[in-house]
Amino acid sequence: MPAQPAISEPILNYCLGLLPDGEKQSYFGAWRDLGQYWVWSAAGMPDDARLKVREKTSKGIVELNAPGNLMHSIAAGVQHQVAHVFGYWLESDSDRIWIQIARPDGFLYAMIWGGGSGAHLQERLLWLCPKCGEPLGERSLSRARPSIEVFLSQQLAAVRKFNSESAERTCRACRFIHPEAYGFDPENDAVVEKLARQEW
Amino acid sequence: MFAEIITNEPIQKISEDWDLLNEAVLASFSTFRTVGENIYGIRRRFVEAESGVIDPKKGAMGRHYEIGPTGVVEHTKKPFEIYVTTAGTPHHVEHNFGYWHINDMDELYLRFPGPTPETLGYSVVVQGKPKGNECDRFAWYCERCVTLLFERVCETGRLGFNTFWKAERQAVTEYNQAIANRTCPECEHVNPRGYCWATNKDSPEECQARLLW
Repeated sequence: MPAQPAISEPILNYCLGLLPDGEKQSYFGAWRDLGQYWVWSAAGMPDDARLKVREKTSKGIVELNAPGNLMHSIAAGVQHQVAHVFGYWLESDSDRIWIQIARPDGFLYAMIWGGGSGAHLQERLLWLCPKCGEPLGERSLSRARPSIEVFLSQQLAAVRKFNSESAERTCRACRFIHPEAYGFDPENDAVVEKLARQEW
Repeated sequence: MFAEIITNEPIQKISEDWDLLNEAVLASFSTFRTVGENIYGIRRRFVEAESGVIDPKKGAMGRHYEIGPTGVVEHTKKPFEIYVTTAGTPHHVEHNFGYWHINDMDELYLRFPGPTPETLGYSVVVQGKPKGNECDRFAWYCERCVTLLFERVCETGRLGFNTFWKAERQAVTEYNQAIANRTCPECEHVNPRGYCWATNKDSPEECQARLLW
């Protein structure tokens, strides 16, 4: 019988501290693949800009502005944006959970994506005119297998394409010029993306 | 930046459940409730860095066990930590449920304390909603040699997750019915009885078993 490839040990669990040990300041985490869930976390000091979820609902756009703890579920297919975290409206094939934990020295944040099997395969990135709500542009992302790295690379390419198209960023209805967009990872921000992240 | 297109309507009027930690909403998650593609359980418990999680009814229950290729492994849950037990891993939480749960979906846990040490914190568990052939299993392994003793399957994907609690009660009852079910065929050790997640379902014998494991 030919030699068989070794069977890898099963993964029993994943463990992720929302704030790395010893981290006391503002913190912006990296995405982690925890099986059926993708998880991200961050911490903000009292003087830092608050990270707020904006969501498109049947009654218009809402901004979640909770003074204390918050746990909010965003269903797959619902357009949402998180201020200073990603600079586009995102629509995805998986549910999201946004968690905000109030602490004496600021806030902890966590975003949890996923749950069901067969998710993390497609998203739609959209930009809306901030003045009148007119749709300006969109990009569809997809992949054959779930991969955070592929998603992060695809979304940054989509952001940069949008930023390079000044005609697309100009609202056809009110002529307002949408500011530059930015991707998920501040480490990869170009100069204009870094400024945009601070702005919105 | 979206100030001009953000609705003036209060969020509470758009969605009653917009904050799952709101006291009025949280009560509906005291067992499990499906929202979208996930099933949520949210409990108010004391969450402490040293002693872990303390439930007002069940007592200390921070010890979480899993079975892997090397046998039983223990994890003490810490506050502000996201912990995921992956699909297929048999897991048991001491004094919380008296069986090994084997889920076809990953289970994600998060605990964080209340605003002061005297107030209850939050213990959150989230798992994907099972679909198709995905199931939940209730199993018992010998506490001495980890031999599988007894198992029942609930076809939650096909029948819906609302069948879980009835199946749990039935599995625990059947396991406890005969001492032969609890007696290890390999080492002959007689294992303690099983018990359900909800304390109000405990018989006197199950109540005793809850104190043991």
